[in-house]
Amino acid sequence: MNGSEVLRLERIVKEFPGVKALDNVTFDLQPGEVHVLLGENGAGKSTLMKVLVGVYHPEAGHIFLKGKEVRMENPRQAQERGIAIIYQEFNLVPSLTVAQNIYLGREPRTKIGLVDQRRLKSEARRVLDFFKIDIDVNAPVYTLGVAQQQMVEVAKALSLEADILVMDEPTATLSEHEIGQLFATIQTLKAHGVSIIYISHRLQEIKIIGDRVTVLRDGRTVGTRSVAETELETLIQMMVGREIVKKRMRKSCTALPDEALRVTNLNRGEILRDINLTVRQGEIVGLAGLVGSGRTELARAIYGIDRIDSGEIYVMGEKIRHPSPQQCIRHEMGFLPENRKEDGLALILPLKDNIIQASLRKLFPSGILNLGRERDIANRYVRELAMAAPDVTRMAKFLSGGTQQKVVLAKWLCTQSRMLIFDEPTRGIDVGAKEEIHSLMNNLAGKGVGILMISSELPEILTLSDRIYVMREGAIVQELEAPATTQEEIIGFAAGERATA
Amino acid sequence: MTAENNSQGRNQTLPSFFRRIPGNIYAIALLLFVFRFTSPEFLNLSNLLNIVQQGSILTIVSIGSFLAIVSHGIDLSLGAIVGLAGVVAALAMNAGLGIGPACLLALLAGAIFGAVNGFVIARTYINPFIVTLGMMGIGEGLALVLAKGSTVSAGNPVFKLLGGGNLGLLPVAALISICCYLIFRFVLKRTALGTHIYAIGGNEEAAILSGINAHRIKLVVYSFNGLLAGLAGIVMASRLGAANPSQGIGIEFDGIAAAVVGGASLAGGRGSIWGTLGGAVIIAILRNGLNMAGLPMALQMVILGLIIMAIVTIDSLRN
Repeated sequence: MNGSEVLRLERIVKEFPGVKALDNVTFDLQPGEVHVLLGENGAGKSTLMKVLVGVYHPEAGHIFLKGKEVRMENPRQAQERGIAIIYQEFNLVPSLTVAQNIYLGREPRTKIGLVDQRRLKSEARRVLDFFKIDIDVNAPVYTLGVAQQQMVEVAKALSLEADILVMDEPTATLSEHEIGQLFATIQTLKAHGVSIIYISHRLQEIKIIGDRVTVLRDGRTVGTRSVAETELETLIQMMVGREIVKKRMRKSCTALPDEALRVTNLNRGEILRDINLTVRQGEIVGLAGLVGSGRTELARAIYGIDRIDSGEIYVMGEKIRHPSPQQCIRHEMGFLPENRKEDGLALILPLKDNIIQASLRKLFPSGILNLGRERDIANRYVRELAMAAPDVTRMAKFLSGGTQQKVVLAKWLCTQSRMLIFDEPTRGIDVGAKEEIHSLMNNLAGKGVGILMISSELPEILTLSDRIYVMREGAIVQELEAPATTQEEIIGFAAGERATA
Repeated sequence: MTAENNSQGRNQTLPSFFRRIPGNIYAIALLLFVFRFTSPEFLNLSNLLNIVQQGSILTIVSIGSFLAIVSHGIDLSLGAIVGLAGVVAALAMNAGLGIGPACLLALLAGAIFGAVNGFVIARTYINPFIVTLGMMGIGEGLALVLAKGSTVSAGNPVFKLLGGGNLGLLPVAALISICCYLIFRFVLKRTALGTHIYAIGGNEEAAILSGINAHRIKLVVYSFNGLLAGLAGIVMASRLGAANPSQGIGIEFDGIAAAVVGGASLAGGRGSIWGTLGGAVIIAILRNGLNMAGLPMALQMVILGLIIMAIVTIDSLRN
């Protein structure tokens, strides 16, 4: 046992009815380190953190804070002892300013009990300056980007004098540039002796930011490693407990000669400039590019959500005259948006209703439903896509990210789509489910479905695509054959470091 | 795996059976029990029929309130349409039109009024609360103008049967409201339109990306609302034998309360029309029972408000 450690969780056991969520988990934290907590969904990461801050009380085990054993009764106690958590969903009030948010509920007062606006601002500015966070304290939070809002959360935690900071998937919603900002801030925090527990799915960033990594699987500690001395492949193996073969999933392109999608000379203001692309039936085409390069905007334009200035869109060889989601569906094209929860699913509706949502007119032309048939169809997709759902009436919000994505996919399979646009198909999905989604996409292509896939994860683009378009500043700057290209080449074109051919 | 789930579903234990009974039924039973003691005549057949008759109009209106709420909207103009449609029907009959054509004209007026709501809401993205609030003012004003500020008589004895007549023991008004309930229950549960209404209430963006024409659905929903409120207006004018332009004022709030008491979520996408029917019955019983108990009007309003809040609180705790 190291005497200098700030935190030690020892042999923690936490049981829920029927499940042992944490089974003898041990975890320690050194001053000024970034300790990554890695594991698939359901591995016990969140449960462990909830034990740490006193939301859950463990059945067995000990928590040592700076060498002294403590009991965490509730989150408030954890806060008083200098432990802060930044959740994925921020707890900020959008209409209030940065300073007001940082000191929400503990505003400095004047002698007669009013809020001392001057001190409020100067204190907030002091905290931000100290950690070199460049945000205007007078700005209302709704005017900030996601990354800046996260910085406000960080500042709020630090203003509580926290020296242990837990960050739950902090980069899930950030762009590359914003991730850079976040990492710079983390470095500053480390330099000031703040210890960070960093929960993430993204293996690449662990290499950049982590000092040590502890892998959890099925509620058990698999092991703790130094990041610098461990290969990513080893970490993946530790996470999933089996070897993931990292190779191209597409053995050979099985594409038919017929086009599934053709876009010619599409323009939309400065956002999309003279886009030309094709996707053949049975082909998976990757759309790579940095965040902000116009990939999602292109998908939305093709699918008729946003108006275009000029250009033509052909699906299955037929021109779409007035692009709209309805027209696209009529032409057998479907769209799986990037934000499943906001745009893809109705979370409070049952799984069944989400699956058949786009096909009702097709399944029941009279407009009158057959509830038994509805259930059978939904059940068939639950089986075919191996969804982890107890039954088809389960509300979508109770499903895991991977299963939710399968529900959205089932919706488009149900319409018999022959052309699918995937926007970030595996964002926020754990490794195992990710593989399943990939093999589903692969099978679809094998059946002749054309797929256009937007992804920020280059390994995903490389393992899955037959061809790749690279976008930069609203234009397609390069077309690449997937087997022949590399991550470095794609990034080169996307960032504009390479001259385009 | 499916077979397993089914057998689990069927094998219900007794407590879970009780939990599956909607809370409304308990609330109704409790109210009947309590009012039995506050006023001895409460459970008399004539009074129960009276409740049914009064409740019929609210039931018709509350279906409209529910449709708006489940599509993640709200309709404040229903009461105004009730007044307007009653006046239109009465004026048309006084001008020599037959009962049928006069009623059709009133229904048409209601439907058009509702369609305007739906059109503005779908096309402008102005919040339904504001749109229907504006239309509430317009409707009330229009009804007053048409009626020249006073009550229009509608004394045709055949017309009076709609709201006041009985078919055997059952009031005709109740029959009308039961028909409306069955029709809209079918629409919501068994048609693509119904599923689409829940879909845009559940997540409008996802529904649009699924190719659902949200504009059309909203237009249809608010047109249905207008039609229902028009029907309620006719029944009300018939029961009173005269159309008062202000006859519907406030009923839109009872309708909303009925839907929410019945479990509808103001966030849209959730709730059942069966629950709304229960909610309407509860409010009708409350109004009648408090009245029969001889409480002053002001106190009745306070108690009604408290009980509605209590029911909704209990219901949200149960879930």
